[in-house]
Amino acid sequence: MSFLHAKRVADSEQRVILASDTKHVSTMNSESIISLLNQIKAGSEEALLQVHEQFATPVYSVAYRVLGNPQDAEEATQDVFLRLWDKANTFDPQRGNFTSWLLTIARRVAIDRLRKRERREPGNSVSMDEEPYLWETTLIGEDMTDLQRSLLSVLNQLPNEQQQAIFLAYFHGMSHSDISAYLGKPLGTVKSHIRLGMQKLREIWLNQQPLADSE
Amino acid sequence: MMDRTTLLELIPAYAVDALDAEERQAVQAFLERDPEAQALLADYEAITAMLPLAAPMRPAPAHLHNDLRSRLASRKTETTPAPIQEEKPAPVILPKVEKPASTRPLAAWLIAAAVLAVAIVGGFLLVRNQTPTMSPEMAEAKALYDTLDADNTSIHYEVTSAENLTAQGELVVSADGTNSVLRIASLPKLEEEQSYQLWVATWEGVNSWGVYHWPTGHGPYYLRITVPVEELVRIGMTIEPYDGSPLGNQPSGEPIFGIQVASAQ
Repeated sequence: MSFLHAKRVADSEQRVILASDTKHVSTMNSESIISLLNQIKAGSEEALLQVHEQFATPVYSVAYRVLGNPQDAEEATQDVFLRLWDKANTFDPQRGNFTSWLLTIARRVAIDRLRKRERREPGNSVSMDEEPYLWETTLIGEDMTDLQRSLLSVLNQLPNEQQQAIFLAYFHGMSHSDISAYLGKPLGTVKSHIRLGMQKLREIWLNQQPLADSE
Repeated sequence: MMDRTTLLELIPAYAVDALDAEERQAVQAFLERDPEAQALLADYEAITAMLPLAAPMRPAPAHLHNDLRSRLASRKTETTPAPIQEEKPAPVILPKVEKPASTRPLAAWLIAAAVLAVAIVGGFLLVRNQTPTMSPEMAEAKALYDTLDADNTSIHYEVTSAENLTAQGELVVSADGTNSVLRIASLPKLEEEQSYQLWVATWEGVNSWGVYHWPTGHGPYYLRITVPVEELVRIGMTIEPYDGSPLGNQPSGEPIFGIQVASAQ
């Protein structure tokens, strides 16, 4: 059963309950984060633990989204923070916000782990979430910009097949060919799904860009 | 050969890592020469940076906090913490280097001892001041590593440490497979008259990638691997006699770590 199908049959009451508990992306301001990163660079374990306290849930959530089980997600989460410990100096606030940066690392670390697992257990590469109602509950936090909210809103409104193709590529590291084989759909169809879905997201991005700049 | 329109249409998929190897290489080459494509990619990268926020929320287990504290503590005993700079390495690429001569006049030994003492004190002060001291080759490899590591399209292969050892690290490979850097740390300390030797196995066979004399093994050390990734099968390191394996292009000593590359292609 695909998560999209599962999502359609999800219990709406559960969604409401979970949706009230979604503010798990840290609301720590950027100055505090920069200060903590500087302390981490200077070797402060306490600073790293503070960042962990604030960001463990979003990192774990992304890792779980990719890996589909708690054991692997926990390992990946810890790897992300150990990587932060080693490479806090590579964060450049000019190039984006810390949350996006950290979650991008989380996604990459998790995909690396997923590929290792694929090598150990061929044919078991995709781990769809077994609690599909949670797909309705995203990491939207108080610190998100209007642009981010709009994009995620549009992402949720994309036709199922477009959203699914984008998510399989992004969260599972699957190529066009992998997705085509996994879904049993023609390669050209998969390519169209990703292209059209991403183009829609870009339209939103372009339309709201001036608003974002003025924020 | 893909036309420009086709290549532009592939950029959204490139941004979410959905392209197969051949298409990815074609798009990368296209991006290098087409400013419009670069601008388009920048838009899509900004969008993909937000996609992790679409992951469903799952509270992290409470024990992770203490687990991380424990892992930090155990790392402290195993490896050099991040803020401390790398010690000065002495990489030696084959052909093998000469060992120091074993018989010297007393005066020469005294002078050598004095120079060594100055070097030790100087080295200590350098470390205390956190001044990086790296060979130019390693500094270059580290710079490339930092670039590749910051690039979301790079591929990471983690080191698998030999049993009972704590070697850590990874091979980071550019998306097009042409640039690779190995970062390694927490190697077992060498005894006198020993060396680390790196081995690169390709489809053509095994080759030594150098004999290294790193005093503590703490690292991290950075080594450029210039073999294209599609030719790489495995990378490994062994502990060998000071001049390297007596078997020539075959390891003779205890393995420290390995990285399996080929099966992930």
